Amino acid sequence: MVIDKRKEQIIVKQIMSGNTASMKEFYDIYSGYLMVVCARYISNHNDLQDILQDSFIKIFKSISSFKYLGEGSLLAWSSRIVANESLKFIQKNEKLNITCCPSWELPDTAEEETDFEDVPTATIMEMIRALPIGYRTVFNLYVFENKSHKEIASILNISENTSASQLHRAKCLLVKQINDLKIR
Amino acid sequence: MKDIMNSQWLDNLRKRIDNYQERPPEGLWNDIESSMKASAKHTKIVLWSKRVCAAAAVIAILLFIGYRISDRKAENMPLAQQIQKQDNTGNDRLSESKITRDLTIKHDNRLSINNSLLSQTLSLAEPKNDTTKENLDEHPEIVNNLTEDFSLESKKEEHKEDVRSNVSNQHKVGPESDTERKSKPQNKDMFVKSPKSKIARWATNIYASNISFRFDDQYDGYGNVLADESNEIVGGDIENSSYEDILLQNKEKETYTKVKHRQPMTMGVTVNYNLNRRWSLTSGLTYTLLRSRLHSGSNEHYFHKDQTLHNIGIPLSINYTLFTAGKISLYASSGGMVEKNVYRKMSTDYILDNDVKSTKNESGHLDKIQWSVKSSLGIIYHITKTIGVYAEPGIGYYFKNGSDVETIYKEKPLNLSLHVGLRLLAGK
Repeated sequence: MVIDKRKEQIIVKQIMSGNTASMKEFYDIYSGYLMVVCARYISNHNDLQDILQDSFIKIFKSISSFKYLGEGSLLAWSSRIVANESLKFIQKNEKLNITCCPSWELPDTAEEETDFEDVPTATIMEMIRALPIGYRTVFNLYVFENKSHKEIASILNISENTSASQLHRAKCLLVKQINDLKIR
Repeated sequence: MKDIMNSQWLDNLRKRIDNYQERPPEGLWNDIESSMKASAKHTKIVLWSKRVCAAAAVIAILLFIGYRISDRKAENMPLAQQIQKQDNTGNDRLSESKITRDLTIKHDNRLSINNSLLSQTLSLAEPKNDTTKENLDEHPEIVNNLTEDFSLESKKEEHKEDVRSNVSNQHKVGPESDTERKSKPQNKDMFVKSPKSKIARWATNIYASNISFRFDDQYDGYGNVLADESNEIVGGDIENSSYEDILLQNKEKETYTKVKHRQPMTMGVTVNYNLNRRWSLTSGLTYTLLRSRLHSGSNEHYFHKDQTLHNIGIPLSINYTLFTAGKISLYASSGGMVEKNVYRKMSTDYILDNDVKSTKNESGHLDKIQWSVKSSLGIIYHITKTIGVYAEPGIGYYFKNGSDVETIYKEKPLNLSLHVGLRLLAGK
């Protein structure tokens, strides 16, 4: 995943000058990771493709504002763009659903945290993607973007309590699903 | 305890997902590529329309100045103007035809250059002679005065402009001049201004500049410098494989990059417009040739890039004449220039074991515009009244234009130059 610093800088420079071959190179290296970033937020396949496309275009167009801060900084910077684009989409299209309760019964009490060593990552990804939109968004912001509940509250225009409880429920739901998987 | 466990569990989850990749949707890259190309085209269109607007603005300014100048030329010929005015009123047609005739007969060759414009304008009116002949006798004194003045003045080559003022003055003696002065008060100003027009308003400069010293730059590692700014897709298979071969072969070797920039060669045609005796403006068109060579890699395995840039520029500067002693004048000049690359050629040789493995030629042009400012000191020697040679050493600063392309401007923004040229003065 981490590519040589010099190569990374070459790619960045070439993309800046509009070199399509370098854009393809960037795409080949990073699209798998950026796909996951977007998929964590967006469950609909068509939306996912649209948002990813917009994100890549944004990355290529604004790459001049990228500052090299060490290994992996290009991926981190690009991931942030993808996350922002996804969030923008959610805010625009799913605003009402963020605070809506899911239609099924939720466990109120936390189940015992179990390790998920044996569970394939693809399965975990599916579980995250299956979370109700509100839970999923808060979960993503808190766990992957390192946002505090206060920040999440202001981003999603919800209360801090809602953010905290949604995160809690999201986690419970994941734990339960992992446990269920293990029992089977 | 629970909280620590809590964050640990989430942390593990995050790490798992962070290192996870999924295959992006089929056809995503094609969509991205086509919309990047479409937007590049759009930016190009926007960019070009901006350029066209800028060029139009420059042309408009030049035309405006030109228009003002041609106005001034007319001002310098109050006689012709006045005559035409009279003609319009239909009051007195004699002077026109008579003066024209006198001028043609009396002025000698020495006057011809200076008065050519005058006689030109006058001769335009000549066909009307026939209709005006009958008025000739009404004001014989004008004719006489004019004739006298011309024959006198034509001997004094150095005071050509006096001819005009004298002619005008004499002309005013005529009975209609009073009413004329009243009805056209601005004409008075023209007469007052006339002596000032002693200085040539216009001058054309043709110059060249090329100080042939080189500027070398060397650093460790590879240079992707002289990078491609063209929108064409770069990276054919040959290039990539050759490039990768070089990288591979040099894995254990010490690599460096060396860039040699040649001093820019500039040629230009500019026009000077004198605001007054001391101040003047210069603008025009310049052509600059920039050449660079890049050597990147180790001593055995490397690539060479030869870059040639052809730039067209529009300079604008203001000049101040410090002093004039005889035929020599010294002046200071300060201004700026906007430059645009019109053609760029780059050939790359990929060399493995000192053997050229492949060569690649590219051409295109750069989109970024180069701005610069410059100050210089000039000395001009007037060979004749209309021709002068000048030398203008100067120092210029080239602003960063955000381009990746290595040029001497980028490497050495502060640049010395020496313009040597010919100045043709015109338009008294």
